[in-house]
Amino acid sequence: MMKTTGALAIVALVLATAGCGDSKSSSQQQIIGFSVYDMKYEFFQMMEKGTRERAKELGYGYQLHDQKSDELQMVSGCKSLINQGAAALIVSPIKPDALGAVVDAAQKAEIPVVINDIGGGGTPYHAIIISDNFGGGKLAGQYVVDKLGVGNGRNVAILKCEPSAIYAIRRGEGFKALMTSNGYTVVAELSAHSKTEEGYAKMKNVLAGTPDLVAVFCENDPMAVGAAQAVAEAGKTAQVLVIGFNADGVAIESIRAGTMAATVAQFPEQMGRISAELTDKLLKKQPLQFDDVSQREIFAPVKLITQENLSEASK
Amino acid sequence: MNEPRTAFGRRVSAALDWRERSVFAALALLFLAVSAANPRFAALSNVLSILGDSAYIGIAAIGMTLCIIFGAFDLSIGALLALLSVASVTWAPHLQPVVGTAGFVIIVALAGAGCGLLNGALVAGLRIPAFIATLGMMYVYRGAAFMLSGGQDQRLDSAWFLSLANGDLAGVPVVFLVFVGLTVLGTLLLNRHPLGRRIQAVGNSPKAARAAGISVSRTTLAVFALVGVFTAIAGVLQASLLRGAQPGRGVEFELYVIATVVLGGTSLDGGKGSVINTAAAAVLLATLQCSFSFLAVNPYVQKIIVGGVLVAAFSMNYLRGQVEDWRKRRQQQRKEASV
Repeated sequence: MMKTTGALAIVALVLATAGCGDSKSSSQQQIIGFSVYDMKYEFFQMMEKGTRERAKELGYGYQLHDQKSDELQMVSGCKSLINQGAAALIVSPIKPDALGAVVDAAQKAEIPVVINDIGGGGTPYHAIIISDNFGGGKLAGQYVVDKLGVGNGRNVAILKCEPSAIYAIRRGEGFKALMTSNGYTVVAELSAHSKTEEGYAKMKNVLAGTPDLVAVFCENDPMAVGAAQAVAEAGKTAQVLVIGFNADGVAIESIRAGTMAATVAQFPEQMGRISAELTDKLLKKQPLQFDDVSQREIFAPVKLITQENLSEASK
Repeated sequence: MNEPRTAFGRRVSAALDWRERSVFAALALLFLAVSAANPRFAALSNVLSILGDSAYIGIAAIGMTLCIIFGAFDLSIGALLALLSVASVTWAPHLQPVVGTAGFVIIVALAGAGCGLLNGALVAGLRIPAFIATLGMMYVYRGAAFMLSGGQDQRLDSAWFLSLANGDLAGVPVVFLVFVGLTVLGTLLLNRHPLGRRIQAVGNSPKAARAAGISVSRTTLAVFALVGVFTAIAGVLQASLLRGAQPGRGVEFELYVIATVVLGGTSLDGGKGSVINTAAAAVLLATLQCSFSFLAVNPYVQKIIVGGVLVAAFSMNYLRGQVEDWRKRRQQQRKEASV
């Protein structure tokens, strides 16, 4: 008796909380399903907000699934969105390599798949949205040129993410392209594996070998914070511009404190809105404008953040 | 209630005793309720998809059921799952052409048994409590998984490998059929095989089991080896579904698996439990996860519900005892009053 009561209580609890979601939609309305990486991160909360709001503005129903950083849940959750009759699927995948089963299921159900950030795992998705990483790196480079003028062979360095982070690697490439075309010398390109401690250690080495360094670009903010620490300890904060990527809270604080010069902000809410718009076009069988046709990539805008425009980094 | 006269009747009635099968009742209720709220939930394709999902946790939970009935825990299975899936993805291209697909699965299962034996040896040989021994091995297996993979996710797209978990037979996911098969095997092992009786005897009372001539050490080795085998099979199937292996996979997997076993009503005191109920609990949890999506339950609330379900399931045993005590007292009082 008690156990059955317990079971009933569970069912009641589930049904009662179902009202928390606001997915009540009319039966004719097409539903866009979004499977998000993990709602515990602010980046993805903002992406979810943008996706949801734009999907509704465009007249679609909306259904969310949270992968909770678990690739098994990514696969089963995406399949359940398809089983619910979603007209299209948007995924920001915890593991792009594991997307195969998802895209297969979507193809079987004949619905389009849009990937938002992270990666597509080489699957036949319809489109992928990523920040304009190469362009962001160029923005960082242009900042150095604006501050210091043409290079005349002066030295800059790049701290890179791990080689498998294929999109982050483009940031350094963009920076390098702009630096070399403006007469700067990239004396060092080292991987600090995206980590603060390694950014600090690698930066100490770089400063020891190149005391006249004028700028360092880091492919993410944790490394930039570590590098800024090394620069400060060497007493060279005024001489070396430290630039990061992503506008993490800690980087914003470092820029405010003056230990970092700049960072490049990504706008996940905007990325979410773009994903809903692309899905809308796919459902209406309209053509998409790709920034990279072979990889079906669409770039989301990024912005340089310095002490002058700190407030614009808010996502 | 009338007592059935025949032995067969008693067995059927025991198997259908709702007090022992309340997890099925909960499953049926949840399914009917969510289907009423969203009829698409009851579509055959969705039901089959839920059953398939349940296998990846459920298969590992069969081994854990045996372990908990035996009176121990294995906290290393999440890390072991990562190690075995990394190992299987790394070795598959070399092994499969030589030994075939079945041979490959058997080798991975044996590797799982080997790791399980190592856990068992620490518990039985060095007298380390299972909780501590497997907690330590959790870190060892996790480290080994990262070493073997160089810290990188491993990808494997070979058709034969993907077919392990992604196929279906007349629409029924192969993984679910494997799950059902292993559930039957686990049940037979527990209830019909001498090893199963030894596991239950040790779980009830190691002292009494020893007095009855049962080797607790050998039973310990066998139990942990079995946990390793079931973990290995779950690991290979997950790797096949996910098209590769990740050394960081399966964090908190052991806790989710233990939760599944508890939800199935297996007593944490050892000695008592049912593989079939564990399997039903795995389906129940998969159904719950799927219903979150269908009912658009807020992601943060989902975690609270899963936690609440576990606490509720766990408190039922105690509450039931309390209610029975209360009933007995009342009957007693009535008797006294009528006298």
